[in-house]
Amino acid sequence: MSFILAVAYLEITGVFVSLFIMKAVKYRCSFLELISLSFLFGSMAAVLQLFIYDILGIEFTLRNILIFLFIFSACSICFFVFNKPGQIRTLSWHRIDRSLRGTANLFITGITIQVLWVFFLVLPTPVYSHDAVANYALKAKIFFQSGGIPTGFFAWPESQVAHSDYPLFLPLLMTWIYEFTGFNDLTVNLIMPCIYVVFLGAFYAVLRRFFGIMYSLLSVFLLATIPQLFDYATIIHSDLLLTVFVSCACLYMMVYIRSEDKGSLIISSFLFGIALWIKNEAIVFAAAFLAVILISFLRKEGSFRGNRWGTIVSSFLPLILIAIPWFAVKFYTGTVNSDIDMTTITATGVWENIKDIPILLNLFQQEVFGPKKWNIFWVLFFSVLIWKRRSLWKKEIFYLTTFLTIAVAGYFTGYMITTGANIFFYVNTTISRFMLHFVGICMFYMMYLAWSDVKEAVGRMGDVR
Amino acid sequence: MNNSRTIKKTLIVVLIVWTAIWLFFLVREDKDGQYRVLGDLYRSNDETKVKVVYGNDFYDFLEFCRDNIPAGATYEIYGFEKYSIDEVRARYLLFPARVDTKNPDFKIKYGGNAEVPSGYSEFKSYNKGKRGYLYLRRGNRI
Repeated sequence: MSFILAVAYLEITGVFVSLFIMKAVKYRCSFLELISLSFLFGSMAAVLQLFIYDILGIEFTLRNILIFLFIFSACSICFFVFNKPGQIRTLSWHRIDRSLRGTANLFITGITIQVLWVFFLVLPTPVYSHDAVANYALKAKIFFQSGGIPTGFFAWPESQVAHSDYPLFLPLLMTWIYEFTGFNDLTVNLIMPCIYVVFLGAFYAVLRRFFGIMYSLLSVFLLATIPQLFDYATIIHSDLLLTVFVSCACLYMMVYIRSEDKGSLIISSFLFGIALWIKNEAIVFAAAFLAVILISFLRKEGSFRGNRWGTIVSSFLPLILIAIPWFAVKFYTGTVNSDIDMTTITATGVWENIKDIPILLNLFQQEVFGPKKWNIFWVLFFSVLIWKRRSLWKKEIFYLTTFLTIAVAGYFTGYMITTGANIFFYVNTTISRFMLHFVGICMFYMMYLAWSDVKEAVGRMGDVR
Repeated sequence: MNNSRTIKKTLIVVLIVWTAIWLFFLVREDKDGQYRVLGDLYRSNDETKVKVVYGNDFYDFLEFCRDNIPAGATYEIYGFEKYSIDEVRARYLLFPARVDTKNPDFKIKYGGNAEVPSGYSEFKSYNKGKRGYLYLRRGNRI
C-alpha cells in the first residue's frame, strides 16, 4: 500500500512538472503520453529533491519530503486554476478499423501477458543479483539509514561501496521509495516493472505521431517481448532506465525533426539531461543529440543568423541545467571513473585494445544471432538496414542515422580507451547491456524504415496522429 | 503488387517466428531451478524470502554477525572470492557496519577451520551449518 502511495506521489508530482513544461513550450499531447511522461519527470523530480536536500543539509525523512510535495502541489494547483493547462487529447480507440481489431487485440493480449509475467517474477523476489545489490541497493540502504548522502561518500573505496562515482538516479529513487515504505527491499523491486510499463506507454504514444495504430501496437509488442528488455525489468538495474530515457528522448528529437515543434525539442533535451543522472554512458547520447540538432539547424537554415541562436540555446538549456548539479558535485568531489581513467590512457593500451577488435566483433555477432536475449530483433534490424540501405541518409531519417552513428562510435571509442582490465572482460560483461541502451532507438529506426512499404503492402494500419 | 505480397508474407512469417521464440524463452527456465525458487519465494513470508535467495545457512550466518557486530563498527570478511556475490550480499546485509580492509574491529571468516588472525582473538563462532568465525581486534571491547 505504501509503495502504491510512493508511486502515486511520483506520478502526481510528475503530472504537475509535465503540465508546467507543456504549458511553457505549448506542447499538445495525448492522455497516455501525459501519464507516461509524468512518471519519468516525477522520478527525476524525486531524485533532484533528495539531491538538493542533501546539498542543503536537509535530512531525508518522509516529513521533509511531504512538506515540499504539498507546497509544490498547492502552488501548482493555484497556478493551473488561473492558467488553463495545455490541451490533452484523449485516446480514440474507435479510429481503428473494425476488421483490424482482432489483430490489435492479439498484440494487446501479448503485451499484457508479458507485463503480467514481469510482475509475477518480481512480486515475491527481494533484491538479489550482484550489481543490483552492489551498485544500487547498498547505496539506497546507506542513504536511507544515514538520512542523506554520507560525508565523503564519493571517496569511499571499492571495498566499501561499488563505483561510488556512478550517477545516483536509481539509488536516490529507491531511497525516496524507502521513505514511504520503510526499508523494504522486496517492494522496492516493483519500481522496475512500473518503469517498464511506463516505457511501453510512452513509446506507443510517441510512435503514434509517426505510424498508424496497428503499426505502433506491433512495434510496442515487438519491443515489450524482447527478452533482454523484460529481463532487465525484473531486476534493479539502471540500464533499463537509461534505455527508457534515451529512447524517449530520441523519439522526441525525431518528432522535432519532423514537425519543427519546439516543445518536442525541449522535452527531448530534458530527457537527455535526466539520462546523465542515470549512467555515465548517457554522455555519448547527449553529445549525439547536440550534434544532430546543430546539424539540423545548419541543414535547414544554412547559417545561425537571426533568432536561430536563441532556439539553439533554449533547446540545449534544459539538458545543461538538469545536468549541472550532478556534474558540479562530481567535479567538486573529484570522483574518478573506475573504468576509463583519462590520466592513465596510453597509446600502447589503446593499440592493445584495437588489436582485440576481433574479440569484440565475435561477442557482438553472438549477441546478434542469440535468440535467448534478443529473439530475432537484431537479425531483423540489420536485414531492414540492408533492405533500405538507399534510404538511410535521406530526408528526416538522415538525422536518426547520424545520431546512431555518433552514439555507436562513442561506445566503440569507450571500449578502445578502457584502462581498467582487458577488453575481453569489459566487452563480455557489458555488450548485452550496452546493446540494450540502443534497443528502443533501433526499434523505432527499423519500424520507420519499413513503414511506407508495410503500409502499402498491408493496407489499413490506422491513421497517423 | 508482387513486392507487396512478399512484404505481407514476410511480415506474417516474422510474426510467427517471433511469437514462437518469445513464448519459448518466456516460459523456459532461465536458470536451473528458477521455478522451484520462485515457488519457494511465493510460499515464504517476507522475512524468509531473503533466506531463499541467499541460502539458509549463509543468511543465518550473516544474521549472527549482524547481531554481534555493533552498528558503526568496521569489519573485514573473507572465506569467499573478492567482490563475489556472497561478499557483496554480506556487505549489504551488514551495513551500517562498514568494511575496512586495513584495521577492522572485526574479522569475519565464513567456512573452513578456525585460524585466528594475528592481533585478533576469537569473539564468537557459528556452528549451525557451514562453520563461521567472528574475531575481535585485541584491545577492543564490545
